[in-house]
Amino acid sequence: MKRVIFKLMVFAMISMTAGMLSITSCKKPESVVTPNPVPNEFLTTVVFQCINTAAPFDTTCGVWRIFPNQTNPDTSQAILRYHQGSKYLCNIYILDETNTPTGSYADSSHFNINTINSKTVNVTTEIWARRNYHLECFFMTGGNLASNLNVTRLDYDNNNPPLQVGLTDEVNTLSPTSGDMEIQQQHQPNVKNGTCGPGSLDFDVFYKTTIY
Amino acid sequence: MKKVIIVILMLVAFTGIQAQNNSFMSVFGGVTMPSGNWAKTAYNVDEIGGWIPTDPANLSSGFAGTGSTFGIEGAYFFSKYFGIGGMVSYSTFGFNGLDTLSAGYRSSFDVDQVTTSVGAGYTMWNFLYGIYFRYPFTEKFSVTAKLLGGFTTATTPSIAVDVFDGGNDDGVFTQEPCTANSFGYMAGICVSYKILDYLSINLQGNYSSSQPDFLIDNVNRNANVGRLLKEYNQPLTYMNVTLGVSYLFGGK
Repeated sequence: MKRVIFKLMVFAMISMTAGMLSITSCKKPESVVTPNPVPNEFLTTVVFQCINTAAPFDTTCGVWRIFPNQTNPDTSQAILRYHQGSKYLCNIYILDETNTPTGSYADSSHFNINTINSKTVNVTTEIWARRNYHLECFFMTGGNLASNLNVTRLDYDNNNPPLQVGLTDEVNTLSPTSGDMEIQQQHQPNVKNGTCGPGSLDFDVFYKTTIY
Repeated sequence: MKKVIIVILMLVAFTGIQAQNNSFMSVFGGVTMPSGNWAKTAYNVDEIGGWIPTDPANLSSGFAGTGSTFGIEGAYFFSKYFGIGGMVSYSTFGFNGLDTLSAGYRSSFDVDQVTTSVGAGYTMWNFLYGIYFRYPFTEKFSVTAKLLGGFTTATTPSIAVDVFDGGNDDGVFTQEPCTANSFGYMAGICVSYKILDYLSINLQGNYSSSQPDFLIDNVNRNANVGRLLKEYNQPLTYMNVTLGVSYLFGGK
């Protein structure tokens, strides 16, 4: 009987040692921090181009631009003019003109996204590809602009349910007035909910706006 | 052909039916090494860094790493060579490729920083039984082969990703742990050396496979961006190498 107990004790001790070694070698939770080597989408220029849906010859195009070495943006072409009581189909174009030759910058009087300089990067395609976490937001300030100009986003992302993006929009105008149209692009990783609150700003640009 | 094999097996079994002192009860512990898609760590992205949801490698990668196993095993030998028995084992598998996964999420969301955390890795319980074949080369040295099948239950690790951008903490989304059951099997070979009449030490190598169908919950996943798995149904294959000790019934 003592012999059997001794055998079992030896077996149990070896077993416990093996068990403890196995348990202590179990994997522990781990964590890793991954910073971004480069900032969000790089851009220099935001173009807001609109076409009157009832009169295609009636167009307006505002160009807002800032280069990395500039303190203040170039707003000389950041101007929009709309007819009263009209509907416009508008597009936002986001460009990187860092490497664009000086004479080939986007110009408000004859901007065409299909004929931009080959050195100009059309960042819009990148934003569209990342539309699931981007949102364009519009704010009207000054005069009675807020009550006389309404912007409706027309494009949607691939979220479930789909949420608006705002790269393509409809602008409806009422009565003559003037003020500023502010366009913000919100970068909303994992927080996009259809509102402009969450996220961080990719850009915040202003266009002097007139309804005549 | 089947009949011939069965007759041969029965002859081999019954020739040594009087000897039953190969029966044993053992404990073992060792390392596990996953293989196949389960062990892959693909996070393939498109030209702007977005996760490609149709990429087969993206969908099949399991990020399983090496881990450990321990368990108990026993068999009753009804003949000189053949026995029936079973084992219960608990295995863990580390998470491999966490850097790749985290870099992929950061790229997909195009944010300043993500912090990716995983739980304790995959875990797996095996409850297997089957046949054992033991061949003693000398009085102390023997080799045992086994083929087992049975119930396997496995749990995936939790993955939590905290997104930071523009000075904001944009919240944590998680891939929740998921447990699923399936049939599993194990084939292995064990080399034993008897150190006492009633005790032997064993070195085992086993191959195991199961295929649970994990239906995964994702919490606080507000944007359809980055790696998003809702189901994972891949073979969980692995090798293990274990050391163990056996108590030999019938020893003096």
